[in-house]
Amino acid sequence: MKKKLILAITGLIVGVVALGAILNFTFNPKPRVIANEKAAFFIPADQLRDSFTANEGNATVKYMDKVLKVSGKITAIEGKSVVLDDKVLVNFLMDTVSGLLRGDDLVIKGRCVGFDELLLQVRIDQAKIHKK
Amino acid sequence: MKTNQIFNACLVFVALFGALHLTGQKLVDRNGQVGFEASEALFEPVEAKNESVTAVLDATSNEIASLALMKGFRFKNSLMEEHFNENYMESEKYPKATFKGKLLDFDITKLTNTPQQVRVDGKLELHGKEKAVNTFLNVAKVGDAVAISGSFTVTPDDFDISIPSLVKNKIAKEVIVSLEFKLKEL
Repeated sequence: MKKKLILAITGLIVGVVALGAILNFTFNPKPRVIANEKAAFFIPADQLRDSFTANEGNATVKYMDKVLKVSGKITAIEGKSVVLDDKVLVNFLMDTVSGLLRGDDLVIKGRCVGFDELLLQVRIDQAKIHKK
Repeated sequence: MKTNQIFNACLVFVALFGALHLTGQKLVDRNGQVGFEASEALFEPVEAKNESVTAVLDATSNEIASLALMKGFRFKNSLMEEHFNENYMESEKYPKATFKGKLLDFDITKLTNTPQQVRVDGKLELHGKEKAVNTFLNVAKVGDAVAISGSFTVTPDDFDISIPSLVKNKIAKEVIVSLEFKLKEL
């Protein structure tokens, strides 16, 4: 009798914890950590921009929200942003970029946010330097 | 005589080029901030911020344009962010919000450090729908930049965004949109 009661209570506790874990996982998913994700594409900056200017809809479906590695030459630096080949605007995770110079060749990894038609540049955010 | 003509031609060229340069004076912010809030009391705050919004002001025509990518709006709750993109904004189909308008009775040469109220008339487009937006903005000179800030209200109905009845009482009927730009010559 006592054994059964202990078993029932243990079962109940395990059940509640499991339910809590499932609910927590469903309704409170962990935010993405872009730096830990594998890049879906490795593409030069000019090719990435050209695919958006050629067909924005298709490029959006293909690249938006995906993790990309993008290569190019730095053409502008401002705060936590760099521009690669005048065509891709990269915002880094950290607040300022140090050790980068205009003219440097760079490979970054980050998330593609979409195409900015005012600047005619593709935006990447949550980026990290992959290779200098 | 001939050198004189060449000199004159040069003068005309310089004058033209100078004038073109002035009329083409564009001020840009590549990392402007736009946020919105649609919270209801007692429920989890419904708010998001986009810190990489583009704003461009043509200082001669006073035309202003802004673009925010939907995927750039970040929420504290990542599930809310997912619902925002997939169910409400349909970001894959409509990836951006754009504003195109004009600052009225605005003269950039008379701008000072003291913020002045400037009326803006324009159109906000998102989710494939357009809405007229008329509001007042605070405009001031801050260092070598033109600082613009303000806010206005929109409703999900304005843009044909339907909120399921299950969450209807958790999301405010009116959404407050706020903006903050610092525009500089590129």
